[in-house]
Amino acid sequence: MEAIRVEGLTKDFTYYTKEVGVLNSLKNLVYRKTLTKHAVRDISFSIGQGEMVAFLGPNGAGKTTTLKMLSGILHPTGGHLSVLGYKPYERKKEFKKRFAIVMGQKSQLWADLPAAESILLNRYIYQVEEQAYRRTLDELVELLDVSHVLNVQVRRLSLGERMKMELIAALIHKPELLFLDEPTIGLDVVTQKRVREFLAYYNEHHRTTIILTSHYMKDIQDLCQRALIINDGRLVYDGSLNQVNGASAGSKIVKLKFADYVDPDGLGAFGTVRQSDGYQATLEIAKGQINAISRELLELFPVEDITIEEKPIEEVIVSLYDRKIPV
Amino acid sequence: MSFYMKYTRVFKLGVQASLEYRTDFIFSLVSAFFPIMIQYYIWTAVYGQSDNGEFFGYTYEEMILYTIMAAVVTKIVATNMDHVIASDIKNGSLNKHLVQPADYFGLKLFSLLGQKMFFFSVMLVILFAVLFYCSALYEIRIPAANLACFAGVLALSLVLNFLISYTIAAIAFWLAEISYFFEMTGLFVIILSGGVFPVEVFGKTANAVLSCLPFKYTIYFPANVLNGKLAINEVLEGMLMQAFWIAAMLLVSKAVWRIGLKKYLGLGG
Repeated sequence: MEAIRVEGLTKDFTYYTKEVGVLNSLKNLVYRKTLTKHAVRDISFSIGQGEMVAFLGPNGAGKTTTLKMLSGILHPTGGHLSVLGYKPYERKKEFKKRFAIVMGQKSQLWADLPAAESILLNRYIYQVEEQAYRRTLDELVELLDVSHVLNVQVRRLSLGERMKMELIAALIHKPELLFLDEPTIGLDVVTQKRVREFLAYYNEHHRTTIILTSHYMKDIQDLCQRALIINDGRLVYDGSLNQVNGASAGSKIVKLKFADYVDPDGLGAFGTVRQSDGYQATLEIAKGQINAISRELLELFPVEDITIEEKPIEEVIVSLYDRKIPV
Repeated sequence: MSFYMKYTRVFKLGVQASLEYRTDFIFSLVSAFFPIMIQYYIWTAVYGQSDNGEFFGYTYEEMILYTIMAAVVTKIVATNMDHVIASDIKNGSLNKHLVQPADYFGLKLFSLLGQKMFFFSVMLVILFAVLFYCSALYEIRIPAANLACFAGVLALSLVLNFLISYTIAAIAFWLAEISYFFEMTGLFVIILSGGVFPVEVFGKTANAVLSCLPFKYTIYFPANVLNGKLAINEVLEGMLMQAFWIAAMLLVSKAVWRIGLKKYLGLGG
């Protein structure tokens, strides 16, 4: 079953610019040139129920704008959009009861009160029955291991604890669809891992469709089989993360360790030298030539150790960001 | 489960949140004292300079009592909600309400009522204490019926003031720089409402205009109910006007918000 279907989605914003200087500020009082920013341009995709999909892209690429349109916070300028069978921008109550959105940088909890109070408020807002509420709360609290801070004022919680509370508050009505905007932003590595494990478990056990944006590549590698990469408002990649490497059609990284000094200039002929200090070198070599070149390197230089690696996924994705051609 | 339970819940949360700010509340009480002092000396000087025992229809004693009552009523009904709501709009906190199956207006109103509940009760006690002391001191007799109506009048004032704030806050949909705007409107609304002087001070014309506006029913009217200046039938009439303005402002605020939200959501405009 399909949870989300998007066709030709477009969002334009109008804005003003101002040149540097007081004079231009005064000029702007009288006349302002209106410009249009195409935040999202003609995006199409569909997401099945129970899928876990990542939205990737640099800042300002249109990820959050797309997420806001999917959740009904923004009205699209053009295109068709169906989420759980509803048009999100109509903001029907039945629709709102079936999804949740967590924004890493915006809290939905009352800062002055314990998180338990905000969670209970959500129970009433989403009209969850007592028994179901108890069961869900117990499960979430145990999974995230936060029973000891449930009754502590939210503003006294650490960022990680607060994020876990945000997740509980968002999931208390068992949404079928969960949007996460930068859920691990600012968290330490251990907490990030914990949150990731939780999301993976939750997705698997409740078949909740999860869509997340993140800058942390680890989040995405661990969690999502599928990624949508957006750049400059366009969808530039839609597919499995394992194939992202193939999509970059590129090269591999060869790391060398030498027993003796090797002149860095002599390495340039074999591939792009990324780094070299005479005793260690990192080369980028086209995939087709890897075997031949490594053999040559081993023959010509006093190589102590050699490793061949895939390009780190971050780099591959950055190269995809630069693609302006839609898929 | 009843639909209204979320509102009672948010009301209770408001009560709890307000108890976290007890000290702040005490400071706000103390701060009310200074303008009262200033006005006390001004009016004492004004009345002292003149043989005329009455200004704008108020005797000296009535004027002082009005000043005190108005200051305390202002503390009760002034909500600061315009600020809170406007920053919700500006910083995007409104988003979380847009995606929840609950009404932003209802949640804000009930959380405000909850937050005011505790102070509302404390203020009532203070108000009556001051009132009995002053009325004995100045020998002003306040009809028992007025006292009985006062709590109701004050509650209506609070709701009316919330609606005015809620409507003004919608400006944030259009204006980018808002902090001084609300500083200005906040003070302006208090002055128009009679929080500083009784509205008679502004003269006949201004008074005629103010009579066609909701503001004076938030402070001027309740202060005068306690002052004993209004007869019981005038009090009831005033309460009807409060109810009328609450209904009117409800419609106005809904209309303004509908237009504002359209812009917020990026629907044309």
